[in-house]
Amino acid sequence: MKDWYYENDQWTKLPAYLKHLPLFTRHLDMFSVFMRFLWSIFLKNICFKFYIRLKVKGTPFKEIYRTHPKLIIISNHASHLDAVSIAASIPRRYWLNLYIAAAKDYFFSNPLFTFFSKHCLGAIPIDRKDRKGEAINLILKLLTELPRMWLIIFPEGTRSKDGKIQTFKRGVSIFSERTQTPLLFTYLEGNNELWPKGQPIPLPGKLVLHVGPVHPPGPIQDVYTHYKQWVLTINPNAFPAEEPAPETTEEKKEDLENE
Amino acid sequence: MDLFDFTFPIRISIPTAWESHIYRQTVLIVLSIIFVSAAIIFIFRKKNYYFVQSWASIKSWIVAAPLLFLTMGLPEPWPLVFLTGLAIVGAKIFFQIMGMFHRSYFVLICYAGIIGLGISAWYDRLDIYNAMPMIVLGVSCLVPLVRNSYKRMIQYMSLTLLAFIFLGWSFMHLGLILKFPNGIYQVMYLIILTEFCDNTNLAMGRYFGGWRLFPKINPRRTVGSTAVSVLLTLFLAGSMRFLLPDGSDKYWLASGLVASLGGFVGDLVMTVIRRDAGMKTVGPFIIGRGDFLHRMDRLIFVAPIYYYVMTVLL
Repeated sequence: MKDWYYENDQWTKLPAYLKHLPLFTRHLDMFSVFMRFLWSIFLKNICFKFYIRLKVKGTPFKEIYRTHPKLIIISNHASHLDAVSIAASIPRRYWLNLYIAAAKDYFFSNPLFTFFSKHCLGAIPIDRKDRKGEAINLILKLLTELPRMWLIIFPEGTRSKDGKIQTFKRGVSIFSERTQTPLLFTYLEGNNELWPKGQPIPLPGKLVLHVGPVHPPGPIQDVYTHYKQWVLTINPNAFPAEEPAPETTEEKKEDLENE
Repeated sequence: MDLFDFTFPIRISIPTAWESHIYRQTVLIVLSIIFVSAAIIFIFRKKNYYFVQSWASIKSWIVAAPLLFLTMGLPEPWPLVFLTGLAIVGAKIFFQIMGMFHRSYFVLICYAGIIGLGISAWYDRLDIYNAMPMIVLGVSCLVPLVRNSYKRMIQYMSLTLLAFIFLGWSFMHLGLILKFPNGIYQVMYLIILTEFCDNTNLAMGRYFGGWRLFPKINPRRTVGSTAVSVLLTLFLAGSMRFLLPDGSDKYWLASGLVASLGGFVGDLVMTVIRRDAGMKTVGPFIIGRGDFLHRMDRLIFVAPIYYYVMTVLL
C-alpha cells in the first residue's frame, strides 16, 4: 500500500501568524468566512452608512473584478480608516479574495488585534524591520500562486501627518513588476479630516473614495507620476506644495542690474 | 454565616444549574483553586521549564473555566449545544492536523454527523446515535462518486471516519451523560478530573521519573509520574464525590480510574496521530499550552467508558 501523504503544509510549514493565509490549501476556513461576514455587516451596513457616510465615485468594482482577477489597489494613506473604507466600498462577495498588507508590529501585536487582523481584515503581516525580505517574498508568493487576489497597499508606507501625499516607496513596484499585477489607483478624500494621525477615534462625517484607472506594472517613479496626475484632477491640494527652485546667480545679477 | 447561602438579585425564570446550591459551590471551589494556583505560578512563571509550561496551561484555564461554567449553567439544551460546538471545533483541528481541512465535502459530512449526534442525544435516541458512524461512513463513500475522483479517497474516507468516531461519537457521550441524574455535575466532574490528571502527570514528571512507558510516543510519561497522577486524581475524585448521584465508594473509585487511565490512553492515542502527521500543535488553546484538541483528547476515551461503566456495570 502507498504511504499516506498528509497535505498539512499550511499548519506545519507556516509560522503561527501566517497560518490564516491560504498559501498551501487555497482555502479559507469557515470560521474566518463567518467572522468576515459579521465584520462586513458591521462595516458596510452600520459604520460606513450611519457614522461615516462613504461615497464611491468612478469605475464600479464589479466591472474591474470581472476583468482583473489579480490587482494591487493603491491609495493615499492618512488614517486608520483607509484600509477598512476601501474594503467597505468593495462588494461583500469579493471579500474572500481581498487582502490588506498590514504592519506586523501593530496589527499582530496582541491576541485581540491578531484575531481581528486574521479573521476580519484578512491582513498579511508585514514586518517593517524585516531585512531578509520575508514579507516581500510572502506577498510575491501569494500574488503568484493565488488564482484571485486583490491586495490593498499604501505605497507611502506610513500614514501622512498632514494628509498630503508623500513620495511612494519602491515596494509596490516590486510586487507589481515581478508578478505582472496591474495597479488600481484609488484616492480617499476626507480621511485626514475624519481621523488624523494621533486622534484616538474617528469623527463622524463624509468620506469619498475615488476609483481611478488601472495602471500597468511599471517603475515606481512612473507609477507616482501617473497617480499624481490623476489625483490632481480630483484635488489640486493633495500633494505638498513644491518648493521653489533655488535662484541661480545669473538671475540674481539680472535683478541687481534692473534695480 | 454560610458562604454559599446567597440568592441572586435577579430571579431566573428558567431552571438552570445556577439555581443549585451544589453547582455554585463547585464553581466557587474550582475557580478559587484555579485563580489561587495561577497567582502562585505567576510569581515563579519564569523560573524553569515546568513553571513556564504550568503557567501557559493555567492562564488559558483562567479564561476557559469561567466560560465553561457559565455555559454549563445555562438552561437546557444549551449545554448540549455547547458540547456539540466543542466536538466540531475538535474535529476541525483534527482535519487541519491531517491536512484535509480543505477537503470540504468530508469535513462538512463529519460536522453534520456531529450535529446529528447532538440531536440524537437530545431526543434520547441511542439507536440513531449508535448508527450514526455507519451513516457518516456511507455518506463519505458517496463523495468520490460525486467528485468523480479516486485519488487518495481511501485516506480521506478513513480519516473522516476516525475524526467522527473519536471527536464526534466518543466525545459526544458527554451529551448522553448530561441526561443522567445530575448529569451536568458528572460532565464537570470528568472534565476537572481529566485535566487535573494530565497537569499533575506533567508536573510530577520532573520529580517521579523511572521507567518511561512509551518513550517513542511520549517520553515524558513515566511510571512514577503516571502512578502519582492517578493517585492524586483518585483523591480529588473522592473529595468531589458530592457531584455524583451516588456518593458510595464504587462510584467515585470507578470515575477516578476511568478519568485518569482513560484520559492517559486518549492523550497517547492522539499523540500517535499527531506524530504520524508530523504536527505538534495547530495553535494555542485560547492563550495557553497546546491547541484545543490537546484539551479534548483525554475525553475521547473517558466519555464513552464512563458512560458504559455507569449504565452497564453500576
